[in-house]
Amino acid sequence: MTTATVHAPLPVSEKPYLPERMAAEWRRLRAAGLLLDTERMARFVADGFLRFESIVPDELNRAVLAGIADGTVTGGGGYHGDPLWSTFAEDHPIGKVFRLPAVRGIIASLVGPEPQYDHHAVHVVQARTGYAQMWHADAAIDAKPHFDIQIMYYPHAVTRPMGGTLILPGSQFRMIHEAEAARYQNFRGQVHTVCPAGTLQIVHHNIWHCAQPNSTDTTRYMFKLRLNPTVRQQRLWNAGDLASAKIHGILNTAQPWHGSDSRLEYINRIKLWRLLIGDPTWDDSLWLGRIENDPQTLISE
Amino acid sequence: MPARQQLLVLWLSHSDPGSGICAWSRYDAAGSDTGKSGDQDAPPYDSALSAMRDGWRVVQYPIAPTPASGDEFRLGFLKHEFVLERLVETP
Repeated sequence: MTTATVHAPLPVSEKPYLPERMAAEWRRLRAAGLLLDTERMARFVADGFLRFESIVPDELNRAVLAGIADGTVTGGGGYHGDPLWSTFAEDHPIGKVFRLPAVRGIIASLVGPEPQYDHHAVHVVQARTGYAQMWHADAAIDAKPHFDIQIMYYPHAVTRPMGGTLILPGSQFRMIHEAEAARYQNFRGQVHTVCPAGTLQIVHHNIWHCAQPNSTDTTRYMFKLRLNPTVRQQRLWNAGDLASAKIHGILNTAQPWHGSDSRLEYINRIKLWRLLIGDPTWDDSLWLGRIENDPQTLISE
Repeated sequence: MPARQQLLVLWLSHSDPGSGICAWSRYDAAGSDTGKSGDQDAPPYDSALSAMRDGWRVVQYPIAPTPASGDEFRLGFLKHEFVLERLVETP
C-alpha cells in the first residue's frame, strides 16, 4: 500500500452518499494504490479481523491521547446513523486519523468510501485493573449476510501485561447475542492484542472479543469506531488480482478452536465470499457445489 | 469437613471424550482457581478423558442434536460441552 496523496474526502457541507461521487472517490483510492488486495480481503473473511500496525503516525497518536485527556476526543457518541465525514472535522485528532489516505483505503475496501458513522467509544482500562471482561459480540445478534466493521485504534503501544483486547479469530459466523458467550474463558487460538502505537484492528461486527486485565501502572486506551456500509459491498477492494490470488489456503484453513465445525466454517466463508465477489456460483473444494448439485437431465423412459 | 465443588467445562472437537479441547473454563468453590477470560494459553488437559484419569467426574455428556432443516450451516455456541466436577474437602 502506498501513501500517495489523494483528494480529501467529502466536505461536510455536501449531501452524502451520492453514488457518482462515491464511485469517483473509490476509483481515486484504487488508482493511488490504497485499497486492500484480494488476499487481505480473504483473510478478513476467514479470520474476521485485520491488523495494521503503526499505521497512524506518532504525532497524531499523541494528539489523540491529549484529546482524550482534555475532552476534545469525547468518550462516546453516535447511534444516529450520521455520515462519517460529517462527524469528525478535518482538524479534529480523530478526524485526521480516519482521513489518513491509508486508513481511507482500508475503510473504502470494506464498507465503501462514505460509510455511515454508527457510534464510537473510548475504552479505558485503568492501571491495576484485575477485571477480565466476558467474551461477547457487540450490539445485538446480527445475522445479516454482509457486515459492519469496527475499528479498534490503539494510540499507544500495548504490551501483554496491559491487557489489550482479546480476539477470537474466526468467530464472526457464530450467532450469539452479546455476552451469551460468557461461559467460555479460554479458546485455543485466541489472540491477545499486543501492538505498537498507532495500530488499527478492523473487525467484523460479529467478532467475539473482550477487554483484558491491566496489571501495569499505566492506563490503557482504545478508540473504537463502528461503521455501516452505504454501498453494496461487492469488489470494493482492488480485485484486479482476484484470478491469481492464493485464497484457497486462506479460506480452507480452520482455527484451532473450530473442531468438527471447521467445514461448516468453510461453507460460511464461501457464502460471504460469493457475496463479496458478486458470483453466487463461486466455490472452493466443492464444499457447497456438491450440496447444491441438483441435476435435472432425464435419461430414463 | 464440608466438600466443595470444582467444575471444569471442556468443549471438545468431537463428541468423543478422548478428542481434543477447543475451549475451557474453570470454577472453583473450594479455592481460588476460578478462571477468567484469557487467563490461560493452553488447556489443562489434552481431552476430557485425560481429565477423568486425573480424578474429574463427568456430570454432563453432550447431546448431539440434528440441525433443523434449512439451518444446517448456521453456527453458534460450541458443541460437545463436557462438564466435569471434583469434590474437594475444605477446612
